[in-house]
Amino acid sequence: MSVDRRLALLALTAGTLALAACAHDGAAPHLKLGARPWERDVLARKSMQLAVEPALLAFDDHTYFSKEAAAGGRGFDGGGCGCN
Amino acid sequence: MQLKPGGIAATIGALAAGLVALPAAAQQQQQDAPSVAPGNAYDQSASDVDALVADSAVLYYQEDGGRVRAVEAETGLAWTGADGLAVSGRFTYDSLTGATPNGATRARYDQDFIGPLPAGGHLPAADTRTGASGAYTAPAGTLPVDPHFKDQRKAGDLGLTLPARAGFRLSLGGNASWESDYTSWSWRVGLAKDLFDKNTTLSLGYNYEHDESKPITGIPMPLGSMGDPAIGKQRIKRVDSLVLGITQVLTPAWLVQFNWSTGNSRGYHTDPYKLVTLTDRDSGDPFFYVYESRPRRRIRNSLFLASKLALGSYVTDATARWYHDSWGITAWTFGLSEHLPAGRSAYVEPLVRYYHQSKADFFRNYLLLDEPTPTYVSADSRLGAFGAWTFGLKGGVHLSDRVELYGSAQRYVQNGKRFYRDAPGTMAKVDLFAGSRSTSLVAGLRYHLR
Repeated sequence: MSVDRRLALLALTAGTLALAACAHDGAAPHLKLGARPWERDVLARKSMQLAVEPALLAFDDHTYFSKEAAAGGRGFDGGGCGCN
Repeated sequence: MQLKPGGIAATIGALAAGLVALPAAAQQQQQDAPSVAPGNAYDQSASDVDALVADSAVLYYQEDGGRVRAVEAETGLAWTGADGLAVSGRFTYDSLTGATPNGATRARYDQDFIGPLPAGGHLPAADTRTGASGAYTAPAGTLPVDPHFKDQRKAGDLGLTLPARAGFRLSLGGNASWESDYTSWSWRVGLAKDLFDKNTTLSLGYNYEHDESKPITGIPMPLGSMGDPAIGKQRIKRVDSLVLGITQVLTPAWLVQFNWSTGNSRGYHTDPYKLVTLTDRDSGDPFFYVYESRPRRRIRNSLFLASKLALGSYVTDATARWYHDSWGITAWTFGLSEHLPAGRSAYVEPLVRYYHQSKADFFRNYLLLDEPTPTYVSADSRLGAFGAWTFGLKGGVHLSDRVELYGSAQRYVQNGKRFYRDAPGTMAKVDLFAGSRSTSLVAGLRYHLR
């Protein structure tokens, strides 16, 4: 990864964090980023989890890993098998 | 182990029965025991505190044209304590059979293939476990595949998440996988921290993997001629992977995740069973074959963005990934699925995924006989340029408070450039694409023991 890409990534991460911090610290209360503790019922649902069915995702990842060059993203990029 | 036809039929039968049974079972649940709270079961909280859950699933995977067939069974147990301590264990068993492309191009006449000569100098015999070293013939006009490919894989995984301390959650894990010609071990550590009323979560994960490749045929000499003596018994690969992520709640019904993952892989990346065709420049016919050769280092980077947006009980899941590695491959992946509640205890989720990758710098469909041999070359279609579509349907149903069925059915199709008009002689009329098409079915059962 080039230095430029690293810097861009760092800036993006820092920017996202700063935005989150500003919104929650009241620097920009009109943004209302996020949910209040009493507004979390939807976020807590099974259907709203980032990995609803981990077993299905694991099967998918194993298949894609053995058929495609790209790996990782959601998690680590290792494969743990000799299929690629 | 070779799969018995009866075993496959029984597996498919069980899967089909499981899938067909879903709507009926859901109806039954509605009539008999309205134990699920109002609304859809998947609107309930995902938190599992002081819970013990057993989860088992079976995957049936079949590639078109009698190529690879896999049956993968997985079973696991997960316990979550009241204080957030979580322990999980999982065991996976795979059985693979079928034919796998060997890297050589199609030709207008039959092609004969043999494995490397063992160091002792005896002619290679077909191996009873993988069959990979046996001699075989590819009929004229067909994609050369090693027809004897078969293997079994056993894998185990253990995970531990410690109770949060000062807002930090630490998790540890390990994984081991055994095949007759490949062994892999890995361990991982992850740290997550919630910020701003849990609206922002930062996570950092590290994984170390140690792989040993022990081909039945021995290690072939990279770029050596097919049948040349093996140069060793095993080779090692080590992979360091890092994932840095941020999850942000944007509104009470919308959250996004952004991950950067990077991996540094060192060691043996060559596929010991893959060949590259040496083609005659005038006729375009295959002349001979050499073993492929890949760089000893691969650095991967990917950026992953996921979004989950709820509208009532409907949830739209969208993902995008950009990937680039030091072999010159750039890939884009886009996924979209919609969680649709069905009745009070079931859901279905149609999904679509698109993937595209560019070719590796050293990918070649074939080499010309009179050209200088490059240091690295591979004709493995997984390193070539192609696009792939997945269409599928996932679903789940709560049969009772304790029992849940889930499953998926998916169709995966790779497409790539088949003919090259500028190829020499007959090669211009040869289909050079070796990508795969496959169908996969999964059926799973989750049981809440407490």
